[in-house]
Amino acid sequence: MAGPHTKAGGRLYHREPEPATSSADTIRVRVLLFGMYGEMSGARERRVSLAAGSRVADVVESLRETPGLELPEEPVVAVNRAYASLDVQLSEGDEVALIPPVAGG
Amino acid sequence: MPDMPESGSPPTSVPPLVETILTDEPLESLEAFRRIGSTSDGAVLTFEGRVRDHNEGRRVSGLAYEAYPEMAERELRGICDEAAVRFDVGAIIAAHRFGPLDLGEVSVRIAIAAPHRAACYEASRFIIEELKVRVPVWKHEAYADGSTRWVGAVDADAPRGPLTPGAQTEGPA
Repeated sequence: MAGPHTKAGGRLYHREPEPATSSADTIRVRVLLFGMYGEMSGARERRVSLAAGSRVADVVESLRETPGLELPEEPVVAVNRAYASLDVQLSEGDEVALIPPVAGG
Repeated sequence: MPDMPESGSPPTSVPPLVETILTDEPLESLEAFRRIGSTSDGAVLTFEGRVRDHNEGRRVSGLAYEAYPEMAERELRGICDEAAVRFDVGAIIAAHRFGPLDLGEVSVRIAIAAPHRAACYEASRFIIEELKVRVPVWKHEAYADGSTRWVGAVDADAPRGPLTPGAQTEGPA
């Protein structure tokens, strides 16, 4: 294998256990940062606590405080594994992914 | 696409078989591709994308694909299901590999079986172009000079205009 890439258990990306249930006025969501976003922020997965009723845009705003992470004005996002708008309201346990420009094929 | 005299539906209308695969194993040896299609399918077309030794003027030494596996599988499935509705095909298999790949290895493989060749070419092109826009997979290239880079959305092979007039894309705008 040429280059710096190595297999870690056959996967580049690992899941973590579900977070504990939160109280009624806050929700906790799992945030996934892929590709260049993961590299810039130094972590591919994190938990974010938000006020109940928060939207995807609120997660994006909280991520902007991450040192090293540069996000576009309106990053492409997915909620629970489907492309979603920044206006989508989040629920406890949702999975929010930030999708940098894709480059498959 | 002008109608050809020999085109038309098979005597018995069976929904197309669609199979999608996302794996870190080599695509070259996947058994599924060997048995694609039925005796109704007079044409089989396979497209392979391979790891190229250069990109945008730089010498590539290797690369790795990162995937959002569950979503990539779902998007790829959605694209193939759409192709199955849109084109007169008998079977579709589409596979994308992730993890580290060597130069020359197959990163994506799409096979179409259809009664006639025109639908094979159209469905194959539709799937690869949609895949490049919608499927959450990222390419991390390593270069001969030791540097690495996440590849952006710039695609030298992308068609200039809309591939299928009126096509609705559900992917990122």
